[in-house]
Amino acid sequence: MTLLALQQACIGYPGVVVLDDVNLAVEAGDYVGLVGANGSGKTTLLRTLLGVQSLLEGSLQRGSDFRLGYVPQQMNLDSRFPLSVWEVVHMGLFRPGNLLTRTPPADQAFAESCLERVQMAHRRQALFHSLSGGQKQRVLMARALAAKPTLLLLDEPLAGVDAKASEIVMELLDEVHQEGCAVLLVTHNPLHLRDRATSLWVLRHGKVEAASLQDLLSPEGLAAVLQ
Amino acid sequence: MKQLLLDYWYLFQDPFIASLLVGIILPLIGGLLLLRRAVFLGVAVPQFSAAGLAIGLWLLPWWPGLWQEFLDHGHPEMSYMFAFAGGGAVLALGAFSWWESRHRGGTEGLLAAGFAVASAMSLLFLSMGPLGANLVDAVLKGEILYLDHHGLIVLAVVLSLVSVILLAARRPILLIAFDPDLAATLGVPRTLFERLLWLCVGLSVGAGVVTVGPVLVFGLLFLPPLAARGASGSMPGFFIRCSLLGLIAVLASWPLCLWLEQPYGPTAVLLSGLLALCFHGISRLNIAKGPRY
Ligand SMILES: Nc1ncnc2c1ncn2[C@@H]1O[C@H](COP(=O)(O)OP(=O)(O)OP(=O)(O)O)[C@@H](O)[C@H]1O
Ligand SMILES: [Mg+2]
Repeated sequence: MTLLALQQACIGYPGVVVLDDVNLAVEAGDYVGLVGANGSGKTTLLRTLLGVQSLLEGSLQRGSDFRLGYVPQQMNLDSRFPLSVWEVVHMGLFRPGNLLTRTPPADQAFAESCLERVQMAHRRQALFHSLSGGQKQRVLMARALAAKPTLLLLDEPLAGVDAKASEIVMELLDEVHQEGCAVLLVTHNPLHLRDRATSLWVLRHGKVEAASLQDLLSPEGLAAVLQ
Repeated sequence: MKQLLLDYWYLFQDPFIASLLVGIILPLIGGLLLLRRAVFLGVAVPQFSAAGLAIGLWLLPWWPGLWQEFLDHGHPEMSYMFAFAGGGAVLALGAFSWWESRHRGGTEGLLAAGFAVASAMSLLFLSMGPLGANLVDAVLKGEILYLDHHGLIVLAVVLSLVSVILLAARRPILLIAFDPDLAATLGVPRTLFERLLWLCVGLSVGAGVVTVGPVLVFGLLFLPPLAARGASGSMPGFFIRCSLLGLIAVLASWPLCLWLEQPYGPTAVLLSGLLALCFHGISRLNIAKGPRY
């Protein structure tokens, strides 16, 4: 079952084409790795898939009955908000239908369980911006999971996260994937994708190309991607 | 002593209640603007509201009925002034957010330019207008003591309406400000809530400008939230601190302004500035003493 598909898409900002002639699809059960140099358009592609940003050309198809979860690139979040950890996780529960009403207790309990799952329940009262990078990332994961997604998009969740915390995040992703949620992971480190990714996309020279992990893991391959 | 207090209450009961209203509610709106990184907007908009008011006063003789009313009572119809002040604020907000949606960045320069133009316009139209210098002075300085019952009612109706709307829509508004991408992903209608926010800001600034004056509106919008932000560990905590600081400032300014025999607006702004500074200092000390979480 196709969850999301881009056809002959041209992606970018008014007057700035970032990626051209993009044809790709995310199927249920996929674990897609997305790699590319800084500024190659990873965030732009994710935001387009989310429907936040409109296409310059081409079309975006969405499957019926699927829910998106999104873990944003951390540095794009405003640090002046005095939000507690719980308030951040609670954001994942918004629905256009119940924006103005109280969140149902069952949803609240589910969000609580997501926070426990990322091992951050003991910090639920803490100020979100007082957390370390890895802790914030886990809280943002909990927020995405609280929306019960069938496709989870993550924008560099491992940037600035130490090896141990990376492992927690990756193991959690594996679990989520095994439970049937498709995953699209943006990363700078192809090693994280080993034994996991079912497909791999490389952003290079304004195009999206399919690649194999073997290509990427060789020194030449890596250099070619990140040049 | 008791008699003196009663006399004051009898004289100043309307302005007093008005000051409580703006003291509690304007900092909440300013807090939203601060989080939304729209501080510059909050500075420019009261000035546009004052310019709208000035244009309204300049046009007053064109409406014979209203002009007669002014001649009879010594001040123009409150709802007339509010229409122009609120109109000026809402128009300016509409224009700025339209610009922001078209061009990324560059809004600050436009706001600074707008602020300069609006200040000049308000002075120019007031001086071209037919009203006495006293009234013009009172409008610009924010001489809250002149506020009458009619003005209080306009202020109370507008501010209660705005608080109810913002209270109901606070979660989507904050979500859009904090993480617009997540908001869009969850299907929150962004433009709708942004427009709602601008409408609420415009109306409350307009009502504030015609009743308590632009100076007090500026001050109460931003001084309390700036002090409260560093000291808050959650959203409700932040908004409660905003209101509390505003309330203390407007209350404490009353004895001060009566004793100094100076206009209320500027006194209250200076006091809330001082209060904000103290509060900021104290919360800094607390943070330095040890972790709060
Ligand atoms: N709002 C914008 N308007 C115009 N161009 C933009 C905008 N945001 C990003 N760009 C451009 O689009 C290109 C892709 O940016 P994007 O943020 O998607 O890169 P990225 O691959 O996510 O980089 P990073 O690894 O640093 O996160 C960049 O060249 C950038 O300059
Ligand atoms: Mg990026």
